[in-house]
Amino acid sequence: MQIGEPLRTIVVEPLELPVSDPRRDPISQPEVPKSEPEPEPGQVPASR
Amino acid sequence: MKAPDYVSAIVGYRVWRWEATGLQSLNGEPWFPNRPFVASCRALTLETVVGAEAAHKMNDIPQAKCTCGVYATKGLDHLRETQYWRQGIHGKVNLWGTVVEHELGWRAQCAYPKALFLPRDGLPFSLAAIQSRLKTLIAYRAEIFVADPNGNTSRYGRTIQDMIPQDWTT
Repeated sequence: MQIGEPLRTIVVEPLELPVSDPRRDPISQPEVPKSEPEPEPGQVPASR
Repeated sequence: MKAPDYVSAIVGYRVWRWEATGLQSLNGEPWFPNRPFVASCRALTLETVVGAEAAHKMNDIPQAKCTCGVYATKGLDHLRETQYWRQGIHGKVNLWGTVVEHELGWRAQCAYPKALFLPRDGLPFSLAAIQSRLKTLIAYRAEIFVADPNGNTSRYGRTIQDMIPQDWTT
Protein backbone atom coordinates (compact mmCIF):
# COMPACT_ATOMS: atom_id res chain seq x y z
CA MET A 1 0.00 0.00 0.00
CA GLN A 2 1.41 3.38 -1.01
CA ILE A 3 1.08 5.86 1.82
CA GLY A 4 3.74 8.40 0.88
CA GLU A 5 6.83 9.50 2.74
CA PRO A 6 7.18 9.16 6.52
CA LEU A 7 6.60 12.39 8.42
CA ARG A 8 7.03 11.63 12.13
CA THR A 9 6.85 8.88 14.74
CA ILE A 10 4.40 9.16 17.62
CA VAL A 11 3.44 7.01 20.59
CA VAL A 12 -0.24 6.35 21.25
CA GLU A 13 -1.57 5.04 24.54
CA PRO A 14 -2.71 1.39 24.34
CA LEU A 15 -6.34 0.81 23.44
CA GLU A 16 -8.41 -1.23 25.86
CA LEU A 17 -10.36 -3.79 23.88
CA PRO A 18 -13.81 -4.91 24.98
CA VAL A 19 -13.40 -8.01 27.10
CA SER A 20 -15.51 -10.92 25.99
CA ASP A 21 -17.54 -12.53 28.74
CA PRO A 22 -18.84 -15.98 27.75
CA ARG A 23 -21.61 -15.76 30.34
CA ARG A 24 -23.26 -12.90 28.46
CA ASP A 25 -24.41 -12.39 24.92
CA PRO A 26 -21.77 -10.85 22.64
CA ILE A 27 -23.90 -7.75 22.30
CA SER A 28 -25.33 -6.99 25.69
CA GLN A 29 -28.54 -5.08 26.00
CA PRO A 30 -28.78 -2.22 28.50
CA GLU A 31 -30.69 -3.20 31.59
CA VAL A 32 -34.11 -1.58 31.71
CA PRO A 33 -35.25 -0.68 35.24
CA LYS A 34 -38.43 -2.45 36.23
CA SER A 35 -41.39 -0.12 36.26
CA GLU A 36 -44.07 -0.35 38.86
CA PRO A 37 -47.30 -1.96 37.66
CA GLU A 38 -49.92 0.43 36.40
CA PRO A 39 -52.90 0.73 38.78
CA GLU A 40 -56.04 -0.94 37.59
CA PRO A 41 -58.89 1.40 36.60
CA GLY A 42 -60.66 2.52 39.73
CA GLN A 43 -57.82 1.38 41.96
CA VAL A 44 -56.61 3.97 44.46
CA PRO A 45 -52.82 4.24 44.44
CA ALA A 46 -51.21 3.50 47.80
CA SER A 47 -49.73 6.49 49.55
CA ARG A 48 -45.90 6.58 49.86
CA MET B 1 8.21 2.87 26.06
CA LYS B 2 8.28 6.65 26.19
CA ALA B 3 5.37 8.73 27.41
CA PRO B 4 2.47 8.71 24.94
CA ASP B 5 1.91 11.66 22.61
CA TYR B 6 -1.79 10.76 22.26
CA VAL B 7 -4.18 9.12 24.70
CA SER B 8 -6.75 8.06 22.08
CA ALA B 9 -6.17 5.59 19.29
CA ILE B 10 -5.48 6.94 15.80
CA VAL B 11 -8.26 5.98 13.38
CA GLY B 12 -7.31 4.98 9.87
CA TYR B 13 -8.86 3.03 6.99
CA ARG B 14 -7.78 -0.31 5.61
CA VAL B 15 -8.95 -3.42 3.79
CA TRP B 16 -9.27 -6.96 5.07
CA ARG B 17 -10.02 -10.27 3.46
CA TRP B 18 -13.23 -11.72 4.89
CA GLU B 19 -12.69 -15.46 5.13
CA ALA B 20 -14.91 -18.12 6.71
CA THR B 21 -12.69 -17.97 9.80
CA GLY B 22 -12.79 -14.20 10.13
CA LEU B 23 -10.65 -11.27 9.04
CA GLN B 24 -7.23 -11.52 7.45
CA SER B 25 -4.75 -8.97 6.16
CA LEU B 26 -4.40 -8.98 2.39
CA ASN B 27 -1.20 -10.98 2.87
CA GLY B 28 -3.19 -13.69 4.70
CA GLU B 29 -2.27 -12.93 8.32
CA PRO B 30 -5.27 -13.61 10.60
CA TRP B 31 -6.83 -10.97 12.85
CA PHE B 32 -8.40 -12.54 15.94
CA PRO B 33 -11.44 -11.21 17.83
CA ASN B 34 -10.73 -9.44 21.12
CA ARG B 35 -6.99 -9.54 20.49
CA PRO B 36 -4.87 -6.69 19.13
CA PHE B 37 -3.12 -7.36 15.85
CA VAL B 38 0.55 -6.77 16.60
CA ALA B 39 2.89 -6.06 13.71
CA SER B 40 6.05 -8.02 13.08
CA CYS B 41 8.96 -7.17 10.79
CA ARG B 42 9.83 -9.44 7.88
CA ALA B 43 12.91 -7.38 7.02
CA LEU B 44 14.54 -8.95 10.08
CA THR B 45 14.53 -12.33 8.36
CA LEU B 46 15.52 -11.14 4.89
CA GLU B 47 19.14 -11.67 3.92
CA THR B 48 19.14 -8.77 1.52
CA VAL B 49 20.65 -5.34 1.45
CA VAL B 50 17.21 -3.93 2.17
CA GLY B 51 16.83 -6.31 5.11
CA ALA B 52 20.25 -5.41 6.48
CA GLU B 53 19.58 -1.71 6.18
CA ALA B 54 16.19 -2.02 7.74
CA ALA B 55 17.28 -4.35 10.54
CA HIS B 56 16.09 -3.23 13.93
CA LYS B 57 14.93 -4.75 17.17
CA MET B 58 11.69 -6.71 17.21
CA ASN B 59 10.30 -4.49 19.94
CA ASP B 60 11.03 -1.39 17.85
CA ILE B 61 8.23 -1.83 15.32
CA PRO B 62 7.53 0.09 13.20
CA GLN B 63 10.67 2.01 12.30
CA ALA B 64 10.56 5.14 10.16
CA LYS B 65 13.24 3.73 7.82
CA CYS B 66 11.63 0.29 7.52
CA THR B 67 8.41 -0.83 5.84
CA CYS B 68 7.00 -2.81 8.77
CA GLY B 69 3.82 -2.10 10.70
CA VAL B 70 0.07 -2.31 10.22
CA TYR B 71 -0.82 -0.13 7.25
CA ALA B 72 -3.79 2.19 7.14
CA THR B 73 -4.72 5.23 5.09
CA LYS B 74 -5.81 8.60 6.45
CA GLY B 75 -8.92 8.70 4.31
CA LEU B 76 -11.32 6.42 2.52
CA ASP B 77 -10.65 8.23 -0.77
CA HIS B 78 -7.13 6.83 -0.96
CA LEU B 79 -8.48 3.27 -0.67
CA ARG B 80 -10.86 4.04 -3.54
CA GLU B 81 -8.31 5.74 -5.78
CA THR B 82 -5.93 2.82 -5.45
CA GLN B 83 -8.80 0.31 -5.85
CA TYR B 84 -7.69 -1.37 -2.62
CA TRP B 85 -11.22 -1.32 -1.29
CA ARG B 86 -12.29 -3.77 -4.01
CA GLN B 87 -9.93 -6.42 -2.66
CA GLY B 88 -12.03 -7.22 0.38
CA ILE B 89 -14.09 -5.46 2.99
CA HIS B 90 -12.91 -2.09 4.14
CA GLY B 91 -13.38 -0.22 7.35
CA LYS B 92 -11.98 1.91 10.11
CA VAL B 93 -9.14 0.62 12.23
CA ASN B 94 -7.84 1.74 15.61
CA LEU B 95 -4.06 2.16 15.68
CA TRP B 96 -1.86 2.51 18.73
CA GLY B 97 1.56 1.86 20.23
CA THR B 98 4.36 3.26 18.12
CA VAL B 99 2.85 4.81 14.99
CA VAL B 100 4.72 6.26 12.02
CA GLU B 101 2.70 8.95 10.29
CA HIS B 102 3.11 9.14 6.51
CA GLU B 103 1.81 11.70 4.05
CA LEU B 104 -1.23 9.56 3.19
CA GLY B 105 -1.44 7.04 5.98
CA TRP B 106 -0.03 5.33 9.01
CA ARG B 107 2.13 2.35 9.97
CA ALA B 108 1.30 1.14 13.45
CA GLN B 109 2.58 -1.32 16.01
CA CYS B 110 -0.90 -2.46 17.13
CA ALA B 111 -4.31 -2.37 15.51
CA TYR B 112 -7.91 -3.53 15.91
CA PRO B 113 -11.01 -3.11 13.70
CA LYS B 114 -13.27 -0.20 14.70
CA ALA B 115 -15.96 -0.34 12.01
CA LEU B 116 -16.53 -2.59 8.99
CA PHE B 117 -18.33 -1.67 5.76
CA LEU B 118 -19.73 -4.64 3.87
CA PRO B 119 -20.33 -4.34 0.14
CA ARG B 120 -23.86 -5.46 -0.73
CA ASP B 121 -22.61 -7.56 -3.60
CA GLY B 122 -20.09 -9.24 -1.28
CA LEU B 123 -22.72 -10.77 0.98
CA PRO B 124 -23.46 -14.49 0.61
CA PHE B 125 -26.65 -15.38 -1.25
CA SER B 126 -28.52 -17.51 1.25
CA LEU B 127 -29.75 -16.38 4.66
CA ALA B 128 -27.98 -19.28 6.37
CA ALA B 129 -24.69 -18.37 4.72
CA ILE B 130 -25.12 -14.70 5.65
CA GLN B 131 -25.79 -15.69 9.26
CA SER B 132 -22.79 -17.97 9.38
CA ARG B 133 -20.43 -15.41 7.84
CA LEU B 134 -21.73 -12.48 9.87
CA LYS B 135 -21.06 -14.33 13.09
CA THR B 136 -17.38 -14.29 12.27
CA LEU B 137 -17.48 -10.49 11.96
CA ILE B 138 -19.74 -9.79 14.92
CA ALA B 139 -17.16 -11.53 17.13
CA TYR B 140 -14.87 -8.52 16.64
CA ARG B 141 -17.44 -6.24 18.29
CA ALA B 142 -16.81 -3.58 15.68
CA GLU B 143 -19.74 -1.67 14.19
CA ILE B 144 -20.80 -3.25 10.89
CA PHE B 145 -22.49 -1.28 8.10
CA VAL B 146 -23.68 -2.25 4.64
CA ALA B 147 -22.05 -0.02 2.01
CA ASP B 148 -23.48 1.00 -1.35
CA PRO B 149 -21.67 0.03 -4.59
CA ASN B 150 -19.39 3.07 -4.20
CA GLY B 151 -18.36 2.01 -0.73
CA ASN B 152 -20.38 4.74 0.98
CA THR B 153 -22.44 4.27 4.10
CA SER B 154 -25.02 6.58 5.56
CA ARG B 155 -23.53 8.56 8.41
CA TYR B 156 -26.58 7.81 10.50
CA GLY B 157 -27.15 4.36 9.07
CA ARG B 158 -28.10 1.44 11.22
CA THR B 159 -25.50 -1.15 11.96
CA ILE B 160 -25.94 -4.79 11.04
CA GLN B 161 -26.15 -5.51 14.76
CA ASP B 162 -29.29 -3.31 14.94
CA MET B 163 -30.98 -5.16 12.11
CA ILE B 164 -30.36 -8.84 12.68
CA PRO B 165 -32.13 -11.13 15.15
CA GLN B 166 -30.50 -11.24 18.58
CA ASP B 167 -29.89 -14.99 18.39
CA TRP B 168 -27.63 -14.51 15.37
CA THR B 169 -25.03 -13.03 17.66
CA THR B 170 -24.85 -16.01 20.00
